[in-house]
Amino acid sequence: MFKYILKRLLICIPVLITVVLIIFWMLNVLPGNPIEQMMGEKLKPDVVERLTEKWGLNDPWIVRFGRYIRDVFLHGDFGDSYKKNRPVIDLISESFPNTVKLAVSAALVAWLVGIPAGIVSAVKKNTIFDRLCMGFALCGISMPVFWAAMLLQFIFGYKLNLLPISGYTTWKHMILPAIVLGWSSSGSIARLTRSNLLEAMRNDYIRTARAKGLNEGGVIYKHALKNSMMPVVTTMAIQFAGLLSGATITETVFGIGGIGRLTVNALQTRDIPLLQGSIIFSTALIMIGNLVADIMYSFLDPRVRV
Amino acid sequence: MENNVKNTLEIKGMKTHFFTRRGVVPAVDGVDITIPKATIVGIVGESGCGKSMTAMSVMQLLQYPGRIVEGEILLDGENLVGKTKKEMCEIRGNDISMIFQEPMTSLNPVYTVGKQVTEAIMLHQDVSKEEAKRMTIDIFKKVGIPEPEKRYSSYPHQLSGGLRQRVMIGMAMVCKPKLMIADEPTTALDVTIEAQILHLMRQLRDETGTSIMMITHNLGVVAELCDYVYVMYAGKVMEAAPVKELFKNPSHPYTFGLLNSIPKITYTKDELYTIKGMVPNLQQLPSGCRFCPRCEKTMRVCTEKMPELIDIGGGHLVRCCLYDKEVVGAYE
Repeated sequence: MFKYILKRLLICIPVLITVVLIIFWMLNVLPGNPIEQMMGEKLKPDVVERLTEKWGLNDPWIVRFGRYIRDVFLHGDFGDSYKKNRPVIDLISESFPNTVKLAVSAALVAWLVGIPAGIVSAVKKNTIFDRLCMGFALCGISMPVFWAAMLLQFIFGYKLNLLPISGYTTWKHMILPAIVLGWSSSGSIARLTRSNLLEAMRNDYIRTARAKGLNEGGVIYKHALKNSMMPVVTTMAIQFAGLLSGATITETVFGIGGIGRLTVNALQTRDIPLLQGSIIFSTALIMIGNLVADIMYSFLDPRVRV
Repeated sequence: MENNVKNTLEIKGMKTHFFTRRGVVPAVDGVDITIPKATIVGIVGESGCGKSMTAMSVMQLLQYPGRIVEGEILLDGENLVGKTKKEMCEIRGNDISMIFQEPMTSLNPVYTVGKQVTEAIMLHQDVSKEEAKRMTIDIFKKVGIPEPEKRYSSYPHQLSGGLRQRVMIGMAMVCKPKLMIADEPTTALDVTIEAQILHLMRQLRDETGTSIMMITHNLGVVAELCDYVYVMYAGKVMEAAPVKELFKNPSHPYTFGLLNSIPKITYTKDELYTIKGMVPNLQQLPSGCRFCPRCEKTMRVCTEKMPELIDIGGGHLVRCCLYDKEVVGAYE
């Protein structure tokens, strides 16, 4: 098990390097340079020259790439943000707590709503309960997040005046973003739970469980559910990793300073070190999410135990 | 009262129908089956003859849209038809248990086999976990699982098909049921394992006095294991007899055909005998005798009259016009 995890973590390194390579190449292809973006119209040639020299932007991108990889992997130095003139590590670690709060609360909403909704609709297949739950799930999946966010802001923030519309300071601020983000994730979890549970119920061992004298509740919760949760758990872990690497739209609409907004701002201002740092961070999170999903999978299913 | 009843199971005129969108399918159409105490009774027939549905009806595990529409199922004289779900849960696994055709998929892959057997014990008996575990290991020993303590914590995928079927039998026998229903328990196993499993079932019957309903399409299995046999065709019992009598004196043309289509080592012809035609669609049954379109001895009367089960002596019942005195008399 330990060997397996170590192996998986080591594989992450070449993947990360490849991701950085792609970002470097793409930023090189994109028009505009960071200095122009920062200074706007009031460009002074000597300033431009000094900054270009300072940041090493004269070198070919492949040289810069090599230098960056060396700094990151040998010295753990992600560089300073061009725009904010502060270490990238600090900026990420400042934004991350907000993102964690948002991701955890949204994931809780998604799981606590999605899984029960999926179970109900599978157990009460083709009834009004099924239709209601699946309709709710479909709304979650198909409504654009920004629209759902504005809708809820309008109803709960403006009309009913119950919850704050924007900012991220008190627990009340966390409710609407969590619902918006959780709803969209809960939709796919509910649908996945439903279809997998229905599939599990068709298995022969369900008949065995019934023949043993288990009642229908026992059959579902003890025998069908554990078998049907494997793909759901995988999705949940990957979704959660995705949430941790930033929910840009939700963060923007609700004015939350998280990783998602940090990344987009960096892209808009061509803040290359910050952009690279946050993308490496997100990539690593997603890969760890995948690893956690695989490990959980092996706990649920003895057949894939490593 | 129980002591006065000498039959473990009596099925009386049971009809199980499926109410589909395209009409009613009479999967089991008025079946009478009696299983005396400590007897192994075989139910033979082709696929789709209603033998598995008979078993599922006894267990009351019919899936929608199937339903028992008529008849009685008496277990030790107590009618199971009309029992509530809760009452049936107490009976299933305790008084009647069942093993299935597919040992590969009939055990839950995510629990150890020990836990799955323990679960059956804890459901029906008021014992502690340790006691249930001890009982499980005991039953594993009894059904011939080597290293039962070690196997207790094995997962199904770590066991062979034969061992899994032994686990299933152990699970079925652990509560000492009155009746065990075995739905083609050896079909998925190879022949040496099949012989072992059949031997085990007979041995368990001898030791515990549990009656067994053995559902199979394999007459070899019937000859090997059963005391009495019912031949089913298109939802009805066609012939019923003690095993030796049936093999010595097969009386229904269908049974005759079944016996003839078994390859024999002394058989010299190149081609094996087959019963021509197919099992009829249960929604478009022929008028008169159901076997009539495939029968080699069909008479005009066969298309007009569904014969009753006729006793031809020695506990041998046949549903065929050939043995109907009235019909035969009219011809002579």
